[in-house]
Amino acid sequence: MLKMNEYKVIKKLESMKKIKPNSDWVSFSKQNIVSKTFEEEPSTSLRDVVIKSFGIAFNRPKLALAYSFLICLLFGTIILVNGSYGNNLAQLASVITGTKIEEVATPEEKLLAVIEDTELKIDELIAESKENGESQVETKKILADASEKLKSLPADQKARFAGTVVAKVKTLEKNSNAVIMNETEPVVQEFYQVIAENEINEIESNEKNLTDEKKVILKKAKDFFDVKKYGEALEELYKIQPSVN
Amino acid sequence: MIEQQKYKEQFFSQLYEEYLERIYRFIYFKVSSESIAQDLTSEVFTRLWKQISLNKEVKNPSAFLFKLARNIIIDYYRAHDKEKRNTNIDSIVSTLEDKKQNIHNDAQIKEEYAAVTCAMDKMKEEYRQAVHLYYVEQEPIIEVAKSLGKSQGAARVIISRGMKQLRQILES
Repeated sequence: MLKMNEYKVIKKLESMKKIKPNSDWVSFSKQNIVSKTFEEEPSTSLRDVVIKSFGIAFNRPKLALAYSFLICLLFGTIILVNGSYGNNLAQLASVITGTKIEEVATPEEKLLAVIEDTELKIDELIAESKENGESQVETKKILADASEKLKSLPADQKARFAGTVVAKVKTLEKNSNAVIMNETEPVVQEFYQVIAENEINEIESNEKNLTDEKKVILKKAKDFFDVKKYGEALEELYKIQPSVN
Repeated sequence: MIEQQKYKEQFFSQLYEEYLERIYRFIYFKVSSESIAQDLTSEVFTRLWKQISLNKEVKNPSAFLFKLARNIIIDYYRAHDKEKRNTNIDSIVSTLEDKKQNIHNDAQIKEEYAAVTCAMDKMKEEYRQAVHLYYVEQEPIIEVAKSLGKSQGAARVIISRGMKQLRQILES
């Protein structure tokens, strides 16, 4: 450890200015540097080539006109080939918007997008089911797909997702007068398990406020849950908390 | 054409004379070798000359040169990564002695110079540059701010923090 007060440190620093380069080297180096010649390196990047060619073009009116004509022709062809202009713009907008979401999406936003995507598909089916009533096969596919998504979701999101999917499929069942959520199927079991587990946890965290009667029902629901009868467990839980669907 | 070349050379000479010593010292305190400092300083000014001769704008020569110097020092250390990076303090002290700058051949003075140079070497690069410009080169705040590319207020803060860090390193 070296004891030096600030004044002394500053004095030391100031005295360092006395270091100077060799005067012979200074003049030699300068002459040496100035004698060097440099030439602009030709740019090979596509961007520079395009800019350069456009630069040349706009210095010559005829070339500029030809470029403009070519661009118009190109756009015209694209529009004619791909249908109406408005549709193309909409597609372009969706591509741009999609790209932006991809670029800036946080894990939470991505998760939300996954959930919304599944919900949207079921909503579409609900709308269609009002018209033709044939959506069972399609719904089962979506349920299988949603089950895969459910596995990859974090614990805190699972219950919300499963609850929404089940509620929407139930609406679909009502609209199409069909039984889609067959409790014996493993996919349906998975959804019920997640919902029942979440409900049990929620009710248990509030157990102090439960009446003795409700405590008995909760015990019964837990017993059903333990033997993997998730549908029955949910029915019991519904008696305690009618919001459970 | 010839006149343009003359103008470029004049502009370069002006900057060379104004900044050469400062850039040389800045590099020298980092590499602690006269010949390496000369080579790296030449490299800095060669790049400046290239910039000028290709008609590229040098908006803030001070900031431009110190940034170049910093990058060249970094490149140098990258290329000589496996070599010893220890500052050769004796070289700096003896250089000061050679120049007969009233440096007594005293062990304590040597030790103090060694300590200050070593501490400077350990400082955060921005602090080192600010302290070097303000105390070693004795440049006014406005020039330090220009070289750092900061406002005068920010430059003052950096100098102050730099000195604080320097003292902390010296006392550790």
